[in-house]
Amino acid sequence: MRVLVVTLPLAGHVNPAAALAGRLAARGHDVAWAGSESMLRPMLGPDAVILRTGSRLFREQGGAGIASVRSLWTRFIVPYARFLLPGVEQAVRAFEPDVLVVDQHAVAGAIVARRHGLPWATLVCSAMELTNPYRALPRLTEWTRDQLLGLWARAGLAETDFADPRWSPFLVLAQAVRELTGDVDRPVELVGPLIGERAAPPFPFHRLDPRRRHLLVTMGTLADDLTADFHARVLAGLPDGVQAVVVAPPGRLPSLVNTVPDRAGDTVLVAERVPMLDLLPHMDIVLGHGGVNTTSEALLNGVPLVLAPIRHDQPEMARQVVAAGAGVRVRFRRATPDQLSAAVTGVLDDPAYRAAARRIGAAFRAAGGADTAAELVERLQRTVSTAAPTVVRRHSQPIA
Amino acid sequence: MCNIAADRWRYGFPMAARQFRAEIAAMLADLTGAGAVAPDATLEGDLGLDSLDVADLAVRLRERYGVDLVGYLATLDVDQLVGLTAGELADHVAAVAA
Repeated sequence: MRVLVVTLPLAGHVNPAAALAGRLAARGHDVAWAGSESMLRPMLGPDAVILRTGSRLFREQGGAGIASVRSLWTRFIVPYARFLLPGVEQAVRAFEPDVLVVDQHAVAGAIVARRHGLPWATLVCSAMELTNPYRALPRLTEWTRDQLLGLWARAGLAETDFADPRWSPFLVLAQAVRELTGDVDRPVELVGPLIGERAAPPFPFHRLDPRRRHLLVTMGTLADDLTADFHARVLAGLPDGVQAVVVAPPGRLPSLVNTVPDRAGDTVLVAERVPMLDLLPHMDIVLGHGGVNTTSEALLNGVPLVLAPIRHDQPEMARQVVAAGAGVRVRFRRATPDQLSAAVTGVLDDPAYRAAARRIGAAFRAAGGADTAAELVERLQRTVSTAAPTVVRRHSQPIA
Repeated sequence: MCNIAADRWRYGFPMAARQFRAEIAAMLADLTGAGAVAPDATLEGDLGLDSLDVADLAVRLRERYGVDLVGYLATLDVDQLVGLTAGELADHVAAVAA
């Protein structure tokens, strides 16, 4: 079958989609991507088929809570979908896919699939929608729906036909398991994290001190002042006997090391990028911001967490980890060095956290990940082609 | 911790709005780790309140005042939710609990 992948130009969204695409390609299917070649190519490698849509940069979003959700929609999800709609439309015409795999927040892909009467699978890469912590706020729900309706209308679809493009009626693949996420009140396939082959940057493993316990600090790619300040507090509160590996952008490296001048040599290793999947088995604890991918990868390796969520779905991810007993939450903006030290020590010294992390890791493995997801996409294609041998293409006019 | 119903029983009049503002400010300071919380401090922008904190705050407000925080937030539109201040929250609690 022919599969067209539509995702967001962010590592946390491209990597899981690439894991699924890799499994589908290995099973003999033709896979192509619709998106920005300059963003996708470095992550997908030279062999990936990319149907270019051009690229556009969108500003980083700030704020916390609902303000961060609002800016995610108005500054990223909606403008990116508007930008992507014509490119995905062209890609569908050129590639003629049998099925699309669409990131839950790459709304353009779902809308174009709908225009063409094509089946698509939603790929959930965020913790926001599955167990939406704001679902009890009807006016926020209505506002979000209005954002989606605007895109729907822009693609020439009738409001009366509206179906939420975040949730495919055919198949929803969620990188989650019940042991972590809890009950989900809609039909989704909980396949666990999708992890595939990806480039592993070099790392000086020989500098890891076997006599000390290891803390990985990874706060995402936002290089803002708040993160720099957080790093400084973490290192100021680094417990004795703990070696830290800090993932930080290059501009931060000298100042980070200088924050601990009194600590000898290798107490803090700083790297812009790390081979996460190879490094995690060496770690005793991860201090992160609660991004779905890194959090899942830590748990997959049975590593407990201290989470300092910043915005978007990160507080929800942290809630799940805390509820599952696999970590604790600290305050990103205001945790003091002493509080951070106590959180790290508390998780390191209580084996219950690691045991809970291992339980979730085992549930992740049992869920099947990319292999299970690939089988489900195949089954979707078989089911749809049996049920509806001729696909009705109602919308033949191009998107303006 | 004192109990509002008992206070009212004891003193025979509702707690002043000022008192609610002081109590809510203290509750928010404790919850978020902020120092002093001014009445015009926005819960999200200034105090960094996120969905986890809302859940915590809801428990505290229910236990202390019998106030349904999520029920209150459900009446607000997005701009009101984003702009909600400590003082507005305290005034709502005062109106409901007093």
